[in-house]
Amino acid sequence: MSLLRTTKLAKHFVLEKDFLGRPTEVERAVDGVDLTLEDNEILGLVGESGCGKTTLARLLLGILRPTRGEIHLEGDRIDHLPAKRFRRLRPKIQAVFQDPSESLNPRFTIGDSIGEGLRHLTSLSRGDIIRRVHEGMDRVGLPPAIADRYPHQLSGGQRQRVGIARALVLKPRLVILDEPTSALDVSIQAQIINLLLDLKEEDRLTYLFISHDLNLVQYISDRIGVMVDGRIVEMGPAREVGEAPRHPETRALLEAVSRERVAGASPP
Amino acid sequence: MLWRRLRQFGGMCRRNGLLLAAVACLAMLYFTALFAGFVSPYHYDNEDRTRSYHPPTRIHLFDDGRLTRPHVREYELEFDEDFRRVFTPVEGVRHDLRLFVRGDSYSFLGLLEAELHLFGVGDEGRIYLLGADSRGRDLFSRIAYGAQVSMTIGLVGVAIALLFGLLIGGISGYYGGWIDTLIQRSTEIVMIIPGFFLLLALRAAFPPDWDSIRVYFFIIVILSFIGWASLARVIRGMVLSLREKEFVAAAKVLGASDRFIITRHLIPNTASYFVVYASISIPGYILGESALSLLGLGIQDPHASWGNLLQEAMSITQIQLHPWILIPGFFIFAAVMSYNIVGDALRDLLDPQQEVTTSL
Repeated sequence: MSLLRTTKLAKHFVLEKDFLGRPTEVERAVDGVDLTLEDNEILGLVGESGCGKTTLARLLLGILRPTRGEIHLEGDRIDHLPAKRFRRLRPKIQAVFQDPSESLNPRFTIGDSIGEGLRHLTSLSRGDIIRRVHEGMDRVGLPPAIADRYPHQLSGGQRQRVGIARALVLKPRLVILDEPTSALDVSIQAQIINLLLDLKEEDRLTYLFISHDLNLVQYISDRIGVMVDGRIVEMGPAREVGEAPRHPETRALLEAVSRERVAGASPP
Repeated sequence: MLWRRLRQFGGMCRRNGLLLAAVACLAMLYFTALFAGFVSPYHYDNEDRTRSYHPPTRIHLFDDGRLTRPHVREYELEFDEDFRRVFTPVEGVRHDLRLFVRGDSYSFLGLLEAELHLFGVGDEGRIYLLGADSRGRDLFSRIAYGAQVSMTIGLVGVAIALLFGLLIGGISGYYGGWIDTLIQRSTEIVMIIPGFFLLLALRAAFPPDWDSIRVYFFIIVILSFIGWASLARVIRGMVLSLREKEFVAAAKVLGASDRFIITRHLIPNTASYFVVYASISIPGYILGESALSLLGLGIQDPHASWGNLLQEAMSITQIQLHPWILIPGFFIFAAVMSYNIVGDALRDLLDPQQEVTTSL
C-alpha cells in the first residue's frame, strides 16, 4: 500500500467575482493531480515558479482545503477531515520550508521553534520536550548551546537545520521539502542535502522534494514528476526523466539548468 | 532582545540631551506620583481659608543679614482699596524649614499609614512652594497628588486600548473574510465620531455623582474606547501581511491553534509598532483626562488631577491676579512633551519606516 495517494486533486482560487458573487476569474493553481508516494522513497517534483508546486504542498499539509479531489494517507481519506481529527495526523506529515529566515518566527528562540510541534501535538511535559529538542538538535548537527538564541543570530545553514529538526522531532512518516535549499549558498546546499539523505535512511522517511532545479532533483530522487500549470505532465524514474525527457517543459527545465551552468562557469 | 534594545535606548539618551531630559522628567513625575504623600508637605484637602490665594512662599536663607537655617516668613492677609488680596510679612515671625517632618497622615500605596513628609515648616506656619488655591490649599501638594491621576491614566488607558486593539486587529487580519469586514466597519463607526464629543456623550450617559475612584476608572474606559480603533486598524494591516509569512504556515503544520498563532506568532511581531504607538498615544490620554476634568466632568474636588486644578484658571482675571494657578498646565505640558520626545525616539529606534498616528 502506498503511503500517500492523491486523485484528481485540484485547488482553484477565485480571483474576481461579479456583483452576484459568481466567480468570473479563477486561477487553477492545482488542476487534477494524481500522485502516489511509496514508503521510503524520494519523489522529486519540479516545475517553474508559479506552476502550483507550493500550493500542492499546502494541500497535502492541510493548510489549504482542496476544491476537488481526494488525498489518502496510508489508505485513509484525509482531505475534508474536521480540524480536530486532522490534528492527530499532523505529526505524520511534516514540512521543511523554502526560506529559513521566513519560516522561523524571529521572536521565538531556536528551542521554542523546534519544540513548537511537540508542544501542540503531544502531551509531553516541559522537561521531556526540552530533552527531545536537544536530541533533535544533536541529530541535525546543531550544538545544544544555541537553543536559547534567536534565528537572526544563526547562519542560513544553521537556520535550515532548525527547520529540519522541528519537523523531525515529531517522528513523521512523510516530509514535504519545499525548495529547502534554494535560499542557501551552494556549499551549504550540499551539506543540507546530505543531511536530509542521512536522516531519510535513519528514520525510513519518505520525501516529497519540491524544487525548480531539475539537476538537484535528479541527483537525489527515486522518481521525478514534472509540473506545469497545475498539472503533472511527466512522471517516471529519475534517470529516465532526466536523460530522455518527453515533455517540452522538462526539456526547457533541463536547458535552463545547463544555461545556468554555462553562465555560472568562470572564464579560465 | 529587550536588553539589547534598552542598551540602544541608553545610547540614544547619551547622544540626545533633549531625550535624556524627557526621560528624567518622566522619571521625576512618576516618582512624585508614587510618593505623592511623602513629597507633598500637606494632604491634598488640607485647607486654610485665611490664606486664600496665598502667593508662592519665598524661602529665606538670611535673617538680619546673617546666614541662618532656611526659613519662611509669616504673612498676613489684607485687602487694598480695590479689595485685592495683599499678603504682607509679619515682622519677627519665622518658621524654620525642616526635612523629614511629621504632618498630615497619608496612606502609602494604599497599604501603609504614614505621617512622614519630605519637608515642612511645622504646624504654626505654612509653606506654599507654588502658591495656594482659593481655599488656601497648597498647590504643590495638590499637583503631586494630581500626578497620581494624570500620570497613570495614560498608562492604564493605553494598556486597555492595547489589549483590545491588538486582539481585535489580530483577529480581523488573521481570519479575513466577513469577520474582517464586520470588525473593520465597527472600528470605522467608532473612528468617525469626533473623539471629544464621544467623550462628552459617554460621560453624560453615566451618573454625575460618582465618587472619584469610579470616575477615574470610567474615564480610562472611555478614553481607551476611543483609542483602540486606530490601533486595531494598523495591527490588522500588519497581521494581514504577516499571516502570509512562511512561519505562520509552519506553525499550522506544527499543529498550532488559531489562538496561539494570533497571540504568540502574529501579535508579538507587531511589537515594534505598538510600543511606539503606546508611548505616542499616552499624551492623548493625559490631555483627554485634563479636558474632562477641566470641564468638571472628570475627577471631582476635593480630589486633585492636573485638569481639575486648572478649573481655577478658567477666568482671565483670576490668572491676572494669581498667575500661579496656571502652574498645573506646565506640568501637563511637561508630561505631554516628554512622552512625545520619548515616543519619537522609540520610533527612530524600533520602527523607522512607519508613520504612527493616533486618534486622540
